[in-house]
Amino acid sequence: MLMHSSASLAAAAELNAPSSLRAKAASGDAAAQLSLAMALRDGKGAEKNDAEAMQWAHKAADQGHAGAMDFIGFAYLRGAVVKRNPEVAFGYFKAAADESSQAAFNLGQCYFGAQGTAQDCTRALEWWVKAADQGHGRAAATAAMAYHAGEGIPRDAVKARRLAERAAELNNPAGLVFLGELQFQAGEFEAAKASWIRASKLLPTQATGHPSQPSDNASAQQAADLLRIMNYRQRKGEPGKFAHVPMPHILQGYNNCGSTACATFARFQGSEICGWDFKKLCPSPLGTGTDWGHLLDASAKIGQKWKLTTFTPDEEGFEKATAMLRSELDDGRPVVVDFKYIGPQYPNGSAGHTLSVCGYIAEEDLYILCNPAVATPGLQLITAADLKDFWRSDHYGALSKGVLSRPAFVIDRS
Amino acid sequence: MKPIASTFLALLAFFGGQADAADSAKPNILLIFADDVGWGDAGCYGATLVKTPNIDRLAREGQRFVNGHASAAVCTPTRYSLITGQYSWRHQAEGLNKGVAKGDAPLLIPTTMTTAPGLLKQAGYRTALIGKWHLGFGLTKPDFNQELRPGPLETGFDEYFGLPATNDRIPVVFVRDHRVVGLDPADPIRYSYDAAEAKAQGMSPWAAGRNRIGWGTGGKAAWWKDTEIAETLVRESVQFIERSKEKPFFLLYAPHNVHAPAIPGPRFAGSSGLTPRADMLQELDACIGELLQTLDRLGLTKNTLILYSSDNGAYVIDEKGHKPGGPFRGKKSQLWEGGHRVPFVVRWPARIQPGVSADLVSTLDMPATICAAAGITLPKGSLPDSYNLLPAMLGEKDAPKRDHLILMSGNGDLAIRSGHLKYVPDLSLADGWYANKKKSATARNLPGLYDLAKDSGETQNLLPGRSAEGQHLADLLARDQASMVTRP
Repeated sequence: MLMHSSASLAAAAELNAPSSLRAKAASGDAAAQLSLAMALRDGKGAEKNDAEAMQWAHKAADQGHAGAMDFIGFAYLRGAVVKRNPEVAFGYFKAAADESSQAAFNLGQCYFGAQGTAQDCTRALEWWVKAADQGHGRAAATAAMAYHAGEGIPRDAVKARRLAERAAELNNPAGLVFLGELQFQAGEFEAAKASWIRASKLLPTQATGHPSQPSDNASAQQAADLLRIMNYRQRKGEPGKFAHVPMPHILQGYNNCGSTACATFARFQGSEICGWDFKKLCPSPLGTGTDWGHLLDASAKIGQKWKLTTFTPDEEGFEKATAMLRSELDDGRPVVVDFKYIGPQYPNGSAGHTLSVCGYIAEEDLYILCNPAVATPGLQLITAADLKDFWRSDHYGALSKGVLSRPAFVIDRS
Repeated sequence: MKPIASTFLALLAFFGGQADAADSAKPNILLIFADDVGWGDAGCYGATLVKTPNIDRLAREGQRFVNGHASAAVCTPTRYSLITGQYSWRHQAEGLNKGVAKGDAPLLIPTTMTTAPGLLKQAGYRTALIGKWHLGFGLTKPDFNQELRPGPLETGFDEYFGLPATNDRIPVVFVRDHRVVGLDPADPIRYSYDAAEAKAQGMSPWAAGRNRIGWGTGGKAAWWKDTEIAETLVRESVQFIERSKEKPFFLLYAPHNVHAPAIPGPRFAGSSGLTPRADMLQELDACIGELLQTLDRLGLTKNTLILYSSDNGAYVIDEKGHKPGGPFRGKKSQLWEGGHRVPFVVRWPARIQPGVSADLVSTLDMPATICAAAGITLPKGSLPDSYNLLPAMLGEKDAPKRDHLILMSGNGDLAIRSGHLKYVPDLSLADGWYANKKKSATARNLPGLYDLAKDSGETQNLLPGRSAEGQHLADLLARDQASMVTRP
């Protein structure tokens, strides 16, 4: 009665003709029903129709198809096709997690990010490891990062390395990126290079990436970025030419970029705090965005001295902002910034994101980000043009009151 | 103005203080009601192969009754009596005078009935049921997509969280108060307990990873995980105690342990080295330990009355050397002792002296007993078959005791116990759900009389030799059946 996701993928590959897919789905074939639901959701091979996609997914799920339950759960988690409901999403993942490694991965995400359930990082790791055992590369990579950072669980470098190697075995781009990072940090430069080359060849890459691309593509791009800055990371900075401030690698949970970026910033300054612990110093619940005012208050609670500075969103403001950035980076200090992504792929048309800038390469007009992004945490390159475009925010905190500006946290040296 | 205001404040403080003092004298009541746990399923009742340190602690610090009985040999009737203090067989309804409630049963307790939780609530208690219900919802077949009303909240509980029926029955979802938890409205619960109807509607007995009793579709986001039921129920219970600690509370904690399917949580799988059921027993013990620790941590141990028992005997006789029924004959659903003889422990450090008692006691007596502990005078006619055992538990001189008790099989057949004697009107029915009618034809209609002081294994039928004593018990049974109230 139950089908594994690999079987459904095989079925999906066979059934690329929409009419035969429809016929097979209508005859009650659960794998075909799910394939049709995917086609309808993504508008690939069929005209996009979210409502019908959900109907077919429910039919397959009623037959006990774990992949279909995961599909429905993900729709509720994202809130893109149906109204977001993390509790219901959590329920579907839980119902499917024993049979679907993707659902097990998502269930881990829910436990880690307090989505539809109380946070339970230990259980999150259990599910990720289980999914990794079943061949889920991203689950292995995510678990590796959690053990490395000690995010919500005790740090365990051995488990982190083993899981990163498992993710690499499974050819997961994020896993290869992270394994490369571990290798780089251990001084195994050739091995790191090999891991990143492998990752960068898994999917097409460009000169620099864009946040709207799918996460696996973003990982391949990240690997290409890491190869590009590999030499810079091994050299001493040259003021005015390039700078790179080494940052710790930590893992973000769902909707926890602000606290994670701030925890990374604090760790850079010698704190031991993790993203979740930073979040817990703020009044907003886990799994929700964090006001920058609360982040600043939290930094004071752990003895950090930061200040909030803003620049105008225009050309002149960007000039001043980047001058400040380069000056800070030349002096060996990263800067926390807030981005606004605009596009139809985001619920409500836009999304905010908090991250750090930890380097620049003047001659290529590139900046190095330390990005807590869910799928691709770590270093990434961004062009000055994209930085100008994204480093703007009108909702970073109560302080912004809807006024667009370029906000930043810098270390207060007064 | 100023003096008036301060007088008013002083008065408030005075009355406020009075109310607090009165409330603090009332004990908290924690009734732990396990599922299918037999008399021999704990170290304090002689088990050596399963480890139950927390139940043993309760027994060591409280009173352990060796002659305790569930009022029936199956779940629903016993649970009905636990709440209403009335013999369930007085009602002509499936699940009360025979069998157990089907998964689609309406509420089996009339909402007009006086119940122990209702009386406690009136007396200022915060009342909750966390765990198994299995007494139905609504006035007809319940619709799990709508409000499940009336249900536990209409029978005296302020809060309810738990399993609607058993862990092997569809739908496999938790209910909080009147609603299924985490239900996706786009995936409604459809279910049936009628094979033909289920087949016609394409329903499946498969839910949350295994086949269950009943058929259904939908509700998948709300499915529980069998391995997480125990921890969920104990977590909810701890939270209830924490948020109720300021006023007296009554918590009926009704874990699913150790009902089939025996699926312990991962921490306990394999822990006993025996069977999954034995693992689940150790899980139950750990859950009880967590509740005891919570009471310790909150400083509530001294004035909390804990009662521990089970809804009927075990459904197995031997588990790799472990004897869930102890030395007794039979198992769940049967009139033999193994069907209804259950562990029965009370602990109340403030008032009950530790010890062991051979008094005849029943789960049926818990309602009147806990009401007495709360200082409640029972309204006339309420909890009609429930004896107040508190005076005896407190060691009061000349305390009234139960002199006889009616027992019920899983098929609704009755037997009676008085003193050391037990009378079974029809031996062919004593095997309950396991009765083999062909095989027992020779015994059909023959009554049985056993002396449990000398023959705990019920091997020697004293009839027809001691027929006068048999007749006396038969008369007593008929008398109680005909009366509405049996509490003296």
